[in-house]
Amino acid sequence: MRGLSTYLMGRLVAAVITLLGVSFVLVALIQFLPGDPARVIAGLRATPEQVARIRQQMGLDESVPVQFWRFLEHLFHGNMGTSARTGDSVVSEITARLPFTLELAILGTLVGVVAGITLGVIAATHKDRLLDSFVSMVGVMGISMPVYWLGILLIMLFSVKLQMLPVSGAATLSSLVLPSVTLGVFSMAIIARMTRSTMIDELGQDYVRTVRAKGVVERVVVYRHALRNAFVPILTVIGLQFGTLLGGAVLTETVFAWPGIGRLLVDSISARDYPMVQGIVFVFAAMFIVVNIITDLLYTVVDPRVRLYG
Amino acid sequence: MAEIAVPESGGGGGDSLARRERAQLRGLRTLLRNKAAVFGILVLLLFAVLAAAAPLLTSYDPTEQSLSDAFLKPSGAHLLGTDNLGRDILARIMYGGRYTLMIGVLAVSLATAIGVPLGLISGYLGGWVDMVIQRIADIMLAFNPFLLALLLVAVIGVGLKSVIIAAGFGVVPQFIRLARGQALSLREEVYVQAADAFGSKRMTTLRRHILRNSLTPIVVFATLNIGLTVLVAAGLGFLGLGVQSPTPEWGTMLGEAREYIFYASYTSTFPGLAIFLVVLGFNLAGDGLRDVLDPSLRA
Amino acid sequence: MTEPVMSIQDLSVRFRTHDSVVRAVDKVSFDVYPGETLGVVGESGSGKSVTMLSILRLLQESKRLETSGHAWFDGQDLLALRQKDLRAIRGRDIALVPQDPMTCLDPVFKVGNQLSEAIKAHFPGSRGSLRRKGVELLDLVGLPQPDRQYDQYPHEYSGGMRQRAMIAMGVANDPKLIIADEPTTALDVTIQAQIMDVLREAQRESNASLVLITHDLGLIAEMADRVVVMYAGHVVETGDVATIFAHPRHPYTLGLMGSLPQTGGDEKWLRPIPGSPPNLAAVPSGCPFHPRCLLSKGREICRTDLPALDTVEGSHRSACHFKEELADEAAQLLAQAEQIT
Repeated sequence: MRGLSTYLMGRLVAAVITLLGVSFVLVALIQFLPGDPARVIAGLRATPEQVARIRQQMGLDESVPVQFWRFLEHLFHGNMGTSARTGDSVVSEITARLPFTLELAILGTLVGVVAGITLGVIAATHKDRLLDSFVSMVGVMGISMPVYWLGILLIMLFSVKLQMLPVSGAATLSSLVLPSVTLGVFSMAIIARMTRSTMIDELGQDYVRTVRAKGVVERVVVYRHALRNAFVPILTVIGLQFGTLLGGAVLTETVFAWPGIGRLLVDSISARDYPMVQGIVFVFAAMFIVVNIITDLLYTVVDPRVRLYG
Repeated sequence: MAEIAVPESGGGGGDSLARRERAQLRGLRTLLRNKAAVFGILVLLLFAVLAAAAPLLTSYDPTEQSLSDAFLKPSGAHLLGTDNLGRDILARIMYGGRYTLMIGVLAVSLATAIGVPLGLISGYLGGWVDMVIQRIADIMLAFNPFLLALLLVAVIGVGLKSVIIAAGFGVVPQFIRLARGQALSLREEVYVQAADAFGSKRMTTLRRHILRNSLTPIVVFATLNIGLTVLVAAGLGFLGLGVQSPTPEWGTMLGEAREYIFYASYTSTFPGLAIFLVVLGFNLAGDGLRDVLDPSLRA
Repeated sequence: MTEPVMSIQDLSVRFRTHDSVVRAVDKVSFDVYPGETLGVVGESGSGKSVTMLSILRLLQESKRLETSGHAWFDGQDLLALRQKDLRAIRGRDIALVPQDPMTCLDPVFKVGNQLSEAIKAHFPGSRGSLRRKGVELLDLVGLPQPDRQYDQYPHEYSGGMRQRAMIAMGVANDPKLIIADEPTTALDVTIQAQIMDVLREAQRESNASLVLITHDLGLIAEMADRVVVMYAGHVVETGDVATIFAHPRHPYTLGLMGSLPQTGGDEKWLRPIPGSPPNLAAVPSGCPFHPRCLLSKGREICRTDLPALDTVEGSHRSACHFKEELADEAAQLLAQAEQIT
C-alpha cells in the first residue's frame, strides 16, 4: 500500500504544479490584452474613475509575479474577482451554472464510454469483417464530425421533423438527451478506435488462449478477461479525451442554449469580460486535471500490477 | 501489409536511387489500395479545385447581398440555395474553402514550427530542459485545443490571423509530445550515438540526424491534425469568435444560419457538410498515410 | 492394440498472406493411445505446436486461416464440432499446458480465481468447494503454501510456480488427454526437472494420455513412450522411443540427435543439421528436407517426389526415399558414439 500512496502523491504534486502553471498563464495573458486591459475590461462606456478602480482592483499596476501571487491568494480564499460585465462575483456565477455543465459532461462521457466500448469490442471480435469496417467508418466519421453541426442536425431531425425531443433549454429530463448524445459522439469515436486496437491486441495474447482452452464461453473470454485487460489504455484515452469533451461542451451548450459555464464563457469572451473568462477557464482546466487523477486511481482498481510501480 | 522502410539512415547513403523509387512506388500502391484513403484524398482534391477555380466555376459573388433573393431553396439557379442575405451558398462554400484549407495548413505549420523543435530538444537533451518543456506541455494540455484557442481569441481578438494563431497553438502540445517521443527513441540509435561520440555539436546532430529521421512521423501526424485545427477554427467561427462575416468562412456561415434552422434548414446543412467532408478527408488521408509510412503511429 | 484416445488424420493448416500461402501443417496423421506419453519433436517452425493447437481450434481465428482434415476424439471430429460442443471438451477432456507461463496467466486476476474458473466452466460449484478443490490442486503440484498462493496474483509468482499453476489448471477436471506445449522451455534448467516430475505425477494421478511437444530430444528420451518427429509441417518419422533412438531411419531424426550435446562427434552424422528450417511459405519441392540432407547427395528423386510415411518395421515408420541406407550406417555410427560417451 505504500507504493500506492507514493504513486498518488507524485500525481497530486504534478497536478498542483500544472494548476499553478494554468493560473500563471491566465494572469500573464492579461499583459497581452490589446491597449489598456483595465479599459478593455471596464468596457467602452466606463468612466475614467471606473477604469482606475478596476485597474487597482485587478492589481494591474503591479508586476506579473505580484499579480500571480495575488491571484493565488484570492483563489485560496475562494475569490476569483468580479465580473466586468455584471459586477457579480465570478465564483458565485460559476457555482450557479457549473452543475448544468457537470451534468452534461458526465452524461456525454457516459454516452461516449458505453457506446465507444461496445462498438470497439464488436469491431475487435469481428476483425476484418463487415461489422468491423462499419465501426471503422463510424469511428472516423465521429472524429470528423463538427459537434455544432451534429447538434443542429439532431435538432432538425428529432425536434423539428419528428417533434420527439425539446429543442433547447434545460427544463426537463428529455432536454438532456440531444445535448448528451451530441457531446458524446466524438468521445465515442475516439474510445471505439482505441478499444478496437487494444482489444485486438489482447485477444491475441497467450492468456486468452489459456482461457479458451479451459472451455469457458466466448462471452467470458471477451468481457471478463480481454476487456478487463484492455481497460488501462482505454481509461487513459477516456481521461485524455475529457479535455476535448469540455471544449465540445462549450459548443454544445451554445447550440442547445444550455445554461452552463460553457455558454457563459462564450458570452464573456464576446463581452471582453476577462475576469469571468479567467475563472471559467481555470475551472475547466481543474476539471480536466481532477478527471485524470480519478482515471489514475482507477488504474489501481483495474490492474493489480500498477500498485507495484509506485 | 507491406511495410516500407522509411527514412534512409543518417549514416551512409547505401540505398540506390532506383531502390528508393521502387519503395516509394510500392508505398503509393499500398496507399491506393486503401479505398478510404483514396476517397479522402479525392474529397480534398475536389474542395481544393472548387476553392482555386471558384471564379471560373460560379458567377455569383460570395459576399454580394441581394435581399430580394434571400432564403431561396436549392434550385437550378442556386444549386444549394441562398442565405438570409440572398448570397449564393454554393459560391460561399467554394470561396470559403480557401479560408478553411489555408487556416488548416497554416495553423498546423505553426504548431509544427513551435512544437517540433521544443519536443526534439526536450527528448534529446533530457534533464531539466526536458522537465521544463514537459511541464509547459502539460499545462497546455490541461486547457485542451479548443479552450486554449478560445482563451487566445479572448486575448488577441477575432479575425483570420487570430484564428490561425489560436487553432495552431491549440495543438502545439500534441506536437511536443510526438517530437519528444521520436527524439527519445532516436537518441538510442547507433548513428546518433556515434555522432555524439565523435563530438559533433549537439545542435548539428539534432538537425542532421534526429530531425531528418523524424520527418515521416511528423508529416503523418501533421496531416492527422489538420482536420482537428479545421474543426477548432470553424468552431470559433460558429461562436462568432472566428473569421468575421461577411467573409464566407464555413463555421461563421453555420453560426449565422443556425438562427434559421426552422424554416431554412439547408442554410446550415451545407456549410456543416463542407466542414465535415474536409475534416473527414484529412483524417482518412492521414490514416492512409500513417498505414503506409509509419504503422507504428497506429493508435 | 487398444483404440486410440485421439486420431489425427490428414490434418493441414494453412495461413494465406497477401502474396503467399504458409503451409504450417501438411497432411499430418498420427494417433494417441490411452495412458501413453507421446513426444512430438521438431525444430521451431516444424508445425508441432500448430498441429496441437489447431485440433483444439485455438489458433487465432481469421479468414486467412484454413484447417482441413480430421481429429477424432471420443467418436467426434473436433474439427467439425460446433463451438458449444467443442467448449465442453476443452479443459474437461483435453487440457492444454502452454509454453510460456509468464504470459499465459491473465495478469489481472488472482491465480486461484483462474484455477476455479477452469473447474467452474464444467463443474459449477459453490465458492467454498471451488476454493477447496483449487487449493488441493495447488498442493498437488507442489506449491508450498497453497492456501495463501491461491489468493496471489500471477506477478507475485515465480516462473516455476506459474507453470505449476498451469499444470494444476490442466489436470483440474481429470482430462483424458493433456497437451503440454514446450512446458519447460521458458524455465531455468534446475526448475525444468521439477516441473517434468510434477507433470508426470499429475498425469499418473489422472491417468491421462500426455502429448509432449518439445524440441528437446533429451526430454523425449526421459518422458515419452512413442515419438512423432516433424519437419516443415510433415511427419517424417514415428515409432516407439527405444526404436527411434536406437535405429533412426530418417536423416533429420539423426541430425536432431546430432544436435544433442555429445562428446567426440566428428563423424558426419553426429553434428548439427546444416542450414536452417525452410520458410513455410516456400517449402522445397519433393522431400522438404532435401536441401539440408546429407543422405540425399543430390539424387533426383529427393527433389521431385514427396516420400510417403512408410512402415520400416512394426509401428516404426519413416518418410525417406533412402531409409534402407540408414539401417547399417546409422546403427554403426550411433554405436560408436555411445562407446565414446
